[in-house]
Amino acid sequence: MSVRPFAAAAALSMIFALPGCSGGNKQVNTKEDFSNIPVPPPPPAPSGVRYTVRNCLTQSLPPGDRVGRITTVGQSIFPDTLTIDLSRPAGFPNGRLLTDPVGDIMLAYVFLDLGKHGSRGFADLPLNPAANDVRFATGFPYLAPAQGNPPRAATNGANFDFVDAKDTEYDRVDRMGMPLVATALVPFVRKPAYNDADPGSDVNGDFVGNIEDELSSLTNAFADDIQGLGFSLCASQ
Amino acid sequence: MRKFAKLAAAGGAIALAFPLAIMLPEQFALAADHNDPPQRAGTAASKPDKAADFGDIFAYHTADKLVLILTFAGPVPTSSAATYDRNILYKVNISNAGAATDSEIAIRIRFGQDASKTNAYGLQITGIPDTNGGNPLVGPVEADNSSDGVRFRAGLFDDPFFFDLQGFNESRQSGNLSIRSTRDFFASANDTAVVIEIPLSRIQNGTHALDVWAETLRLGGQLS
Repeated sequence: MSVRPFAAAAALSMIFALPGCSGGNKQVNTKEDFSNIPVPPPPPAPSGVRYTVRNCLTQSLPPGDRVGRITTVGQSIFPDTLTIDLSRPAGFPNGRLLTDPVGDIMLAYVFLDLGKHGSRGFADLPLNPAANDVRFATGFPYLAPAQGNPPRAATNGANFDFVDAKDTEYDRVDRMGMPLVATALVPFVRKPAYNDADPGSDVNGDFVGNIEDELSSLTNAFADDIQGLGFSLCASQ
Repeated sequence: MRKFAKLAAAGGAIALAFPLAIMLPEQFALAADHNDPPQRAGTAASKPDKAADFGDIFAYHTADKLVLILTFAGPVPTSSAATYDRNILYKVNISNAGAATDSEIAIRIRFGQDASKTNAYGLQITGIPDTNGGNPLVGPVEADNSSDGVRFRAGLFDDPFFFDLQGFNESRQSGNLSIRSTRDFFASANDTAVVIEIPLSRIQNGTHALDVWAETLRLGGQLS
């Protein structure tokens, strides 16, 4: 058995088992968190500053961002699905509306101490654009019309030649649930494997180590800039 | 020195960012999920599967409806046509019971062409519970369709995602956070999309939360 899947499973156990942690590793019960098991090291940083991002995945979401079973950042990423609590108003992370600033929220999830800044720390700046460049439609089909004057299909067809084949005759190409996870947090070389896998693999911890590696690289690169904006990181040195 | 250190620390990210840095104007890059699968074969020569490339999935509820929106094959310039590939299966999985990773409801979406007409395409939807007697929902693209309480439409739309992708990529490469709120990489660009509005009663299972994810699958295997 290689260290990586073992460590990944341990990491996931921690993420799922410790919903109460908030921005710090000190609350972790080392007897139950498998912290004695080697964790995949982040890419080497030549400077003296290197960040551990485990806290970012184990930190609690603000109460308003807890949906269904999800109470931590890690649980919102593993599995990679959009969760909807029908008893509560819609809006990310309770499902995803067209207008939700998911880019800034997801970046806050993985970079910021949510206990100090909440999940809207970046969105309140905002860091990225706060809204779409054109207005969405108020009714069905909700999206804004195509821009420009592109060629359009005719609408007078009736006898369409749809493929009639079983799922087993297809190969998966892409998958998606939560925004930004597959592309921003899964390392480039692991994307094919990630797309070939399914949410069950996410829960099994197959990609925890990969995502920690990528997030560590990003944190090592951006840490001083984020702190320069007045934010505290969820990662620890 | 500090900047150099950050550059080196971002080495892993550079591996991902480099192909994006040399993209052509029509080869927009990663976003919520845009351009996620193009390099599946692991070489620059591998063929991007544009039709199977998700942009985003949106899923939300109203008082009595569940709205599902898939965007894919984008972003493209505003002069480009939509993509309707009959060999792609777009599948929306919904878990409304048990484990979040088990799909109780699988909604399948396919495109087809009416060869007797010029440039006429349609979409087919199956798998929505208690709908149309179990028969597929079918209608032309670029038109609002309605059947047995379900509204559906496919076509070319504005890309709904807003994000400074250029700044994000530059940040990854330089190690200096340079994301700008005034720069939307997806402005003035379009996607192909499918919108489905379903009576919530056909999806809801008491107070159980829903988990939603989507996948694209290509008939006969991935492009190589």
